Amino acid sequence: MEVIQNIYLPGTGWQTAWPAHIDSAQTLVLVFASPDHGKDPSTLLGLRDLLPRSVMLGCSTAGEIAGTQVHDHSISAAAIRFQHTQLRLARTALASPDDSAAAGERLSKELLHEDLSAIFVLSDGLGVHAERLIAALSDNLPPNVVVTGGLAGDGRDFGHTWVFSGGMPQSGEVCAVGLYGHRLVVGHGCQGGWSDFGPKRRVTRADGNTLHELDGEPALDLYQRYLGKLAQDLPGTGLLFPLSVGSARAQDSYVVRTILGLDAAQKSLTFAGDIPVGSTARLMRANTDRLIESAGRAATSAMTTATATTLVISVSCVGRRIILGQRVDEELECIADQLPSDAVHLGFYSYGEICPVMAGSQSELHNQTMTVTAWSER
Amino acid sequence: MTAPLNPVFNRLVRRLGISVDQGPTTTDSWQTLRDRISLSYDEHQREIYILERSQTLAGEEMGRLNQSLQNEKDALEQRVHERTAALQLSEKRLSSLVCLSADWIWEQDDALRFTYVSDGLQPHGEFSPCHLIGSSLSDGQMLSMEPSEKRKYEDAVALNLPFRDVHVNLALSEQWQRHLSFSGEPVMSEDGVFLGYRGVGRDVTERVEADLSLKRMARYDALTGLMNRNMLISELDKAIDTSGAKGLTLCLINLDEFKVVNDTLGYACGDMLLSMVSKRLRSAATYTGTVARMGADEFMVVIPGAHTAGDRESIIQQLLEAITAPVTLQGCTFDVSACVGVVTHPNDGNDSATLLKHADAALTFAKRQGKSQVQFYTGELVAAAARQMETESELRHAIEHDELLLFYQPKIDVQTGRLQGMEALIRWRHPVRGMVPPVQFIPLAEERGLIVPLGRWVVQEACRQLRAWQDQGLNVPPVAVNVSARQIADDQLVWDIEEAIQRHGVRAQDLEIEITETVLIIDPARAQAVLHRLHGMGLRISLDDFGTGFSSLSHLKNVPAHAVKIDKSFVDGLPHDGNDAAITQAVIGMAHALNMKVVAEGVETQEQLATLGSYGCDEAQGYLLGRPMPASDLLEHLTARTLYPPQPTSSPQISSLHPGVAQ
Repeated sequence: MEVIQNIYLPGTGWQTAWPAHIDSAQTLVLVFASPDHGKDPSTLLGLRDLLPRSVMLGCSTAGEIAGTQVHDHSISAAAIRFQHTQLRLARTALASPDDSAAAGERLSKELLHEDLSAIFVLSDGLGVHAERLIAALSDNLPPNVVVTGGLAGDGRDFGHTWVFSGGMPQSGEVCAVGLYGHRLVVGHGCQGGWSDFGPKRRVTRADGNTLHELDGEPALDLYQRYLGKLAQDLPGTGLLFPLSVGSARAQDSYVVRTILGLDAAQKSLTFAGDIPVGSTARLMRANTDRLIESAGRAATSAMTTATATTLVISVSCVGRRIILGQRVDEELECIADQLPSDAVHLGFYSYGEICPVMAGSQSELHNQTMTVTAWSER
Repeated sequence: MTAPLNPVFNRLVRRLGISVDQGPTTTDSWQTLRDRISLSYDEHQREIYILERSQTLAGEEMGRLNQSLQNEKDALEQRVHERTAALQLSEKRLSSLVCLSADWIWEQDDALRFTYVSDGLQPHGEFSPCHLIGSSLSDGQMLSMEPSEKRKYEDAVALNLPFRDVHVNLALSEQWQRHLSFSGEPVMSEDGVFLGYRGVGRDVTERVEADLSLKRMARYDALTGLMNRNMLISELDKAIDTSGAKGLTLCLINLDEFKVVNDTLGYACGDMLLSMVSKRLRSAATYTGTVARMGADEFMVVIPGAHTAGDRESIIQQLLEAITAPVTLQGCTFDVSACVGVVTHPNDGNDSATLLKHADAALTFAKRQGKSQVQFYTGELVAAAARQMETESELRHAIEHDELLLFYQPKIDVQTGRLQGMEALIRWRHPVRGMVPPVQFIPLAEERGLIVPLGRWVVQEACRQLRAWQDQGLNVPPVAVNVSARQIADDQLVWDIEEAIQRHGVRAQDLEIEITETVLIIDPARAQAVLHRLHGMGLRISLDDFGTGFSSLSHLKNVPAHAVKIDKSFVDGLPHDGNDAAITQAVIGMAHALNMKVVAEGVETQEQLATLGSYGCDEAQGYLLGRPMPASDLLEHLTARTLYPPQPTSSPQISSLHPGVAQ
């Protein structure tokens, strides 16, 4: 396996030249680009023309990760030429968010062939019901196939996201690449670094991603009671106080759900993901240092199985970037600390992270979490 | 030596390129460091705020929750307490009810093994109800069921359905067995899983044994243990269904003179005789047939097969031989005899009712013939029965229309040959059949109760004739009339006789009553009372057929008889049969000792007459001395009175007077 990492910065263009030999049918080119490249896709299309035999896969972001750096207005890219692994690209349009589950099924049907060992999926970040998409995709696959990926971002604007698979960047689309072969080694890790507080509660009333009541008490009342003066700035400070919700896919695990908004009249809160009635829930709080350190733990998990040259893809959350602010590259450094020197690391800040909670469990949608995928060949 | 720095702070200063030992070297780096430290404090304080607040709130919340849980727990405990008390009360009530009832309670697990048996099933010896624990109703060892009960039980439990009153035998030994009845309801868990059965049990031994005994009583005769009439009929019906071409022979047996045994020796002896006869019949018919007691002294033996008349006769012969062996009761040994009516299936009937009716007819016919008679049923018996019915109605007609008449047989003084008396004997002059002998209608009259009006007529006629003779100036000796047991039983008898005497104006001492010993045996008290009244009126009384029945000296003592009549059967053997001679002499001696006269009956030869004379017999009667004759024929004898010259020797020469009509 050979990996060429590159970065496109405004004004300077590609940092290095793309060597011609890297282009092959077994080459995957990952591109994580600032939303601007959707309006002017010439660079992306130019890259496609440069590496015409390779499989192209990318999306718009809320920050492009290259090594330990986060960039805006850039394209963070890598061309991975596999030696033993075959590739297959699948893409499907999302007619509406309600089409999400069907889209997941379409993708799994297209990708499910012999020796499928991993899927990396990128989806439009706004017009999708990501949990249903992931559930439908995973349900139709053998349990050993590791599904990771993320939802495209639009900086902090939440206006327009897109995915790219060699043609024009597309909104309302999901793209995924299937990786086939026994010699691909796939690692994954997933850590939030969030701390629980207050008692564990049961979701007693909810509707989709709107939470009405916890233990029979209006959700907003509960938040305001526990946050005290810090609740004054809700939902602005909501990023700091997400909710941990018991995982439907892995026992004794939880996923993080970020507050998106509130309805003072209904005393309800909306989250960046579904809150199933009957699941357990607990308030969470942020501690910058622990958020940073958790990224390192996610990398450690992903690297436990890695051999030789490794490609590491980190998908983190736009919420973490906002909370960490200037210290955001510290979480990337924590990842770098866990990687061998020849490992190539790229990724992006997303509107949703896709990764199993633990080894062997099905993939899930996360908020405000650092997810790390590691590929190597043996 | 300085303490090691916090690793987060270490990473911070390293990132800012600040030496821990020298501190920030530029204003920018100091500014950055200061901002970062300040931010850290902010964050730290925010976290402390959140945590402290959360701790307080959570503490309050936990406190409330704890209180609410405590309240719930208290309420729950209170409920548990109340429910437990209610349950204990209900259990107590139930167990006291269970104690009062004959029932007890049991539980089984899902493999239908007893897991609990309450007190109530009585322990016995080493057995205690808890020994049932672990066993099942159908294990066939300690507990067993009849096939039909087992089917009922197994059908129910196969579908986990309730069962009612399943009958189970509990047997610990051959001597100790109980009949138990079980009813059970399936027990299901809340989610419908079968857990076993629960129910009640009851010891029904006494009821079952009473039922069995009732059933037995309904089918078997208590005295002899033989089948009774009902069971015989049902067995006969079955035998008819299965006998096919083999056929059946039915022997209806009736003991001769059983009533006499009952009356003389008592009912206990009568019962012993019946038991003995039933044993004899049973052993005689062991390999051949079925024996039943049909009624008082009547038995039925049903023999399958027996195709030929020869076979049948030999079987009947065996039965009769078994019955007729001598019997000893209360020290008395006597012979038993019986009559048999025989019918065969299918010849004489296709159903039990017809066969029994025909057997009855055959037996009745046999009895009429006398003792030890066997009568096979024939179609002629039907005709005979019809004839009897005809005869009966004709006899009634005869009594009312003067078809009857009396013949008189003389009794003479053995020593003087003088006429001493006459026995009036009834005859029937049938308008079509001519003169009908008494044997053809007297038994029928006895059987049909006509003997009472017949006897009344006889007394009237005898008195009338006496009066007629006396009116002719004749010196008439007493006239004797026979009185049967049925007449003695008739309340009107004494009155009838008194009325006849008065009506015809004769003297009581001109009339004599002859009774047999049987009359005395059947109802001794009544017979004695009647005879004493007649004697008191002045009538003479003599004992007829003496020596043939159950002769008893007490009869002689208790009856005011003036004479004893020695039966013809003893006279027949005179003078050569030593026994007959001895009996005759003994009777004469005894009668004389009691101041009674002796009359010998059936004297037919001079030799007999002479012998009787030598024995000291007072009077004689028989063909030698005069056959029964009409009143008109007797007139000349009455005129003479001394018709028979006295015999100077022991062998009086007397010739027959009149051929007459056979007695």
